[in-house]
Amino acid sequence: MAGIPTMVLTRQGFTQVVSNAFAGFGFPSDGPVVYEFPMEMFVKGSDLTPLQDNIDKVIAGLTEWTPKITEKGVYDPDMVTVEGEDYRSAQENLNLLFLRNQWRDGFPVLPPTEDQVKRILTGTNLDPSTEISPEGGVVPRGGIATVNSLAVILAMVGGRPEHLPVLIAIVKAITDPRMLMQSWNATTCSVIPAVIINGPIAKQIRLGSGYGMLGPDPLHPAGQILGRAIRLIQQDLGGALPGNGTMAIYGGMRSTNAVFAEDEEGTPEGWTTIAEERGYSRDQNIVTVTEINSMQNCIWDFGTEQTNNECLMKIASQMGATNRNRWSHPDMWKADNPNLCSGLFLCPRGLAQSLVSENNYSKGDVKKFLWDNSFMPWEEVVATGQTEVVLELGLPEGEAAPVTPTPEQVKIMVAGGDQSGHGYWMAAVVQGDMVSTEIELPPNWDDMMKQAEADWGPLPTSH
Amino acid sequence: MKKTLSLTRRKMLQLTGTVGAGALLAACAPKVEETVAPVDPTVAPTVVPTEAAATAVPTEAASAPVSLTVYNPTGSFRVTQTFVPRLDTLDGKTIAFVSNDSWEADRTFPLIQQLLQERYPTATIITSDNFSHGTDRITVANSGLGEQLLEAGAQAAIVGNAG
Repeated sequence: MAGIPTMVLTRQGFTQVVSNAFAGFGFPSDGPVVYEFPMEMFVKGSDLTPLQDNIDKVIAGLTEWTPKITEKGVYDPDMVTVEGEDYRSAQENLNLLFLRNQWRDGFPVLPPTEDQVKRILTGTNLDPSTEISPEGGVVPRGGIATVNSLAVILAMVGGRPEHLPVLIAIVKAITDPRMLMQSWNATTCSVIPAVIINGPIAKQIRLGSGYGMLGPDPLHPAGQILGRAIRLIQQDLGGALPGNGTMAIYGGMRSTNAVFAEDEEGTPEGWTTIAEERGYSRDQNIVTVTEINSMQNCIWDFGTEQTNNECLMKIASQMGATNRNRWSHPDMWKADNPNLCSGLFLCPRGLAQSLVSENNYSKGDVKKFLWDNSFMPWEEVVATGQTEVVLELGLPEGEAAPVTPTPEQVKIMVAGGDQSGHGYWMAAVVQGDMVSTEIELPPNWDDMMKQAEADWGPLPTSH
Repeated sequence: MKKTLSLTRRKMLQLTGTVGAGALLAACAPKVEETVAPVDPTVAPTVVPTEAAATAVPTEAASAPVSLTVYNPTGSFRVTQTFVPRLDTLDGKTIAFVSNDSWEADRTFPLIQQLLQERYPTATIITSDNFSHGTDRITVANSGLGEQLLEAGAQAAIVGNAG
């Protein structure tokens, strides 16, 4: 740093994390780590003999270590050629190679050949070399997200041209500096990006907002395709490998993240969608992203004023559950921050419509109800060791702590299967802002939709 | 019902005398066009399905070696800073320690300092309490840490503990 030769005293298995950290500052991705000391040396009261025996390694880090790359510039990886005795064998060998190189996630990939990538690039009129990620690339590793590199990832996961403009918008959002990707892509919290799509495009690309919307659905495959693509971008471009670039202890739902559509048709008259709340109109195609780290399904009866309130109380009880993650970043915890997201309440259309017809609730009323009933009692704050965290936010000592500074900041969207007997609470990690961005469609979009219909059949009628 | 050719991979290897499939990685090989060898229907054996037939054994295998040239998915990266050259010796040099106050840095650093001082009696050691320390203070961009080190005359730095 500052033109001073530096070495980093590193524990076993942590070299890539250190390298990623340096890469995030624009250094080559091999950091000045000469030797990994045993992990046992770094615990309380440990035996420091390994350090004594290997002091030469520390000295070498300051006197002998040489980096592989010594010049500034953009470095492109070479194409890779894999052979096999037939196509199936070559494909199998490619998958083995990608696994050995840690370029895959465990599921099979399709070959990202030039032809296949060219086909997917027809989904945008942006030049393939256009950089989507900001300066610094996809953190922490710093790989550059160009239109071409996104098309490569889509080719691997079986994506189509119509997925590309959506993925471009998603990557713009998740790499937006306000989202603090350097935190949530590397954190020990098991965080995933939750991606909400609004606008006509959601149906057009076959993205679900109804039954099974967060999981696999052959009628609405876009969620799985885009979600998996996001994961491989985080991993291959961003270096987020478990225990290496990402320290998430559990890493749940990371195979496909959560990419879904808001049920705009089911949103009651007078209620706004997430995109509308954030200043967009219903005919705009919008991506909104926030970080989620846990989910809870709530079962209920609804339909009367009383049972509807009971449904909301179930969600409020989940919102108020012990979760210090919503208090992770004091800088975000501000009453005038519309991008603060402590979680998402997925409200099925049946309940949403009943809340209007039976309870006469506006969306704001529902937010206030949930907010009022989700405070964490002070005794619980103390018992769960969160006193310091809560006080750091400026909240008064001895008083129950709210889920957000104001009720208006509670995020609700209509989504879920028609039967509406369940709701969902997705708890967020407040490490960065919720970010929205518009999807830009290519001029040939209508032709692409015609081709999609020819390939896949008519659009499904279910939402 | 469409006639199908069903062949296990093991059986095909036996028929062709191939010992085993192999993979050849050529990271810098000239571009090879992707080829996929289609099965030639004129030489494919005829399979007569029977009620009990679950697999069929062909009399000839119809396939050809395939090369797949694909993109490396890790993408490009931009180097905007390079590592400075290392020192030729630590003799007479000023060595600064930067601590994240974690993972036993309060024990490892004094030991390193002692060992370095013994090895290089003319070296000057500046301990970590002379600079910003702790994870929150040394990882924030624009923490001023670099300036602190330069002001102190540091010529080398040891940062730890990374874990």
